[in-house]
Amino acid sequence: MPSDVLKPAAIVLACLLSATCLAQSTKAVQPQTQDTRTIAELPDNPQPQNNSSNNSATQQPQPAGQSQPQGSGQQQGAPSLGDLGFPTEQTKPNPEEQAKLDKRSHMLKIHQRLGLITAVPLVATVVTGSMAGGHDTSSTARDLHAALGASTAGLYIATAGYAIFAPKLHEIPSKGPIRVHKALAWIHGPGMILTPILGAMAFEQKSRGEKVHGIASAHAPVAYITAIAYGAAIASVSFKF
Amino acid sequence: MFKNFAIGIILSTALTFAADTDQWVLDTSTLSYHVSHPLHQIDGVSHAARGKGVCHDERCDFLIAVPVKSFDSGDSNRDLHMIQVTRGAQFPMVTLRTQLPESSLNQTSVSLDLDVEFVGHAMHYSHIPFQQTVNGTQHHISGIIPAKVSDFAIDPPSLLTIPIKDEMPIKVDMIWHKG
Repeated sequence: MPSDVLKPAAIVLACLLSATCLAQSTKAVQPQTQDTRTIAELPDNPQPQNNSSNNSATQQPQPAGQSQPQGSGQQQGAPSLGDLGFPTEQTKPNPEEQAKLDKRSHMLKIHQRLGLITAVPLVATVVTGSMAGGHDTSSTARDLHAALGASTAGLYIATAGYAIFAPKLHEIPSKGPIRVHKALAWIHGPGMILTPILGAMAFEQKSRGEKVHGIASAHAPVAYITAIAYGAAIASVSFKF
Repeated sequence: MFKNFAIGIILSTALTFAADTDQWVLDTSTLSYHVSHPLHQIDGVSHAARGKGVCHDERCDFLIAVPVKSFDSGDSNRDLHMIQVTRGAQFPMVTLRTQLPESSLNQTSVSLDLDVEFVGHAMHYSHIPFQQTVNGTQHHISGIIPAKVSDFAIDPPSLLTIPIKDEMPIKVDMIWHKG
């Protein structure tokens, strides 16, 4: 295999490995503590607990007052949760759903981190794109541009994967800026597939000493649209408009 | 003669009991939490609270409960993340309990001691000022609970790696009537 192919491939592999490790270094989902489980299982009118058995969280000093054991404020004859008429499914703990939510949040946190990391090679690819032309059949700038582009595409696929495969909860319909974020994926998603393909075609043509022609000439416009849509997708969930 | 006497006793006992035990019902409510981030100011609102008050021996016990899932911040993704960090599927309800003298039920301002249960943790907030306006049979009560994210050991959510501020005031606005 020629060295001009091996070099960008090695850079891409190194970038992908380090970025994935960096994104996954986020704190793993913490298992619930025994204390919180105990509180969840308490009935509506729990017996007052001995202060020494309280969990650590309820012993922290608070400016507004002292923390109390669960249900300590309830007096005899006082109304209980059962008196309020909430449906049982609304008041019943659902550990399976909590586990699903935990997994979803964990995956979307990685999606967020990887997405931000991906923006770095994406910007660098756009910047080096202006130096990747020229009449030479090979150039360092073009190799660098190709390597950065491949890294961007690889990281993008990993980023998208964490969002696509995160567990879905259908009970809450999509609302707010997340709809814009998801809609923009229909632009930058296909763009991230097309751009490297068109880029590879342009690279081949340049390597043969030809002027970039045909569909490959759409590489730059498609790349710019993709980069703008990607930036807008990040902005849509980061800033309030 | 004896029959009339017995009926009289039963009636007077029932009336005394009825007079001693008053109940209050929550008509409408707006509960909202506010969280701050350098890039966002967020208010999550719920109108799904239910409440009940029971007065006896000149003391009144009130309970208000609201499903964690009922809070709407205008962004479904954020709301789902809020439910996750507050362990809303495992601890689906936020409950608030307070006790006050029956004599203070018509005062324009009341200072309440509140016990809030949320995320599996119980917190006591002392002397929280609430304003009250009485309009016929309706009692409109409003106030702000100075809650903090750390009060309930919540891992503060972050955006672009910047966490939200610890302050999470909860605005309470309720209309009660005597049941």
